[in-house]
Amino acid sequence: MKQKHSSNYFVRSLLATGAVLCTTAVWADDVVPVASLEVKDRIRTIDQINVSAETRQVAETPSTAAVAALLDEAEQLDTHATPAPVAADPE
Amino acid sequence: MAGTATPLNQIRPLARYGAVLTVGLGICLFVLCASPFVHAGQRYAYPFDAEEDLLTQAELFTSWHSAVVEHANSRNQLYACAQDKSACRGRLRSFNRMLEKADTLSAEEQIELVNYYINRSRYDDDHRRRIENGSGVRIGWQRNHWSSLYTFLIKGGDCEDYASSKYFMLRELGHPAEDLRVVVARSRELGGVHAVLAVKRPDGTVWLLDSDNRIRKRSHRGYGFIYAMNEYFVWDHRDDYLRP
Repeated sequence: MKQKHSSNYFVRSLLATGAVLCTTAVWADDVVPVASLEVKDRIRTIDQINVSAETRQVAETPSTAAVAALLDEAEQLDTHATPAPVAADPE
Repeated sequence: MAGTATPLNQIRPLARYGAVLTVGLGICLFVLCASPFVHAGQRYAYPFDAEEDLLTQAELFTSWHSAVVEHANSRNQLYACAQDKSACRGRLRSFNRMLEKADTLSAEEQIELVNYYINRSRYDDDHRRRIENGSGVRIGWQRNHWSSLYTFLIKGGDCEDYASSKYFMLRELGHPAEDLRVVVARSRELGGVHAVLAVKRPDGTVWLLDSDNRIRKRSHRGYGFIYAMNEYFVWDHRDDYLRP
């Protein structure tokens, strides 16, 4: 009798867990197999993914002096970049 | 032996229900939440050679292909600065100097130079862009805008522009398209969808160039790869099931 009771409890618990799983699957009804979509649909779903994570730069040192020197030169040029000169009116 | 008491039988029925249900729910939640990163963790390196992920030609991915076409059409403007200083807007002058002197660097040094150089550009979150018809009426939104190298050097951009600009700049330095891919991935560190550049090296390793200045040469843990493209093809790395 006790074994019968324990097996009933076990079966009922499994059924309850299964019910929860099914409910979750129905709720997440936008989970679709990618492979079954046409190529154009897969491209469309790709294009809908919003690439929006903000970046955070960390301080890193170039591995060689040659790279570091070029980057310093670039920074100098960017710092001193001037706007295009305006042509002067002839007197 | 019939009727033998077990520890489970000594617990009240309601508690037994609760215990089994809690364990079951816990397992389900773990599987649902961890699966994207479980798959990412199983493939620590970007799967450059996963030809089964090849989706289609790049022309069908119009928002990306527009950037490829725009870059091709703006190459003359990129290099005009070398001949005419009045054409040197934004970072064009330093860009031309980098290309001029990068010939003296090894391939690895060129990759490193491009990563640092592009990452120094101004960060500009482009949000969503309006798509308008001929009358100026908004007919939709473009979520992501892939920038050409010329536009990026003038105006800056955000992470997808950093990745695409590194791609175009390495192409200008002669690196083959088949060794380069702009990769979109979920970043565990940043907590969102991010874009990086993947570079395949001759020894088979794959370097990930991120906008945080780090080049990941061994483990790519923390990235859940979604899709990738170069100027010719698009790869779809998503799992069997699409998660929006």
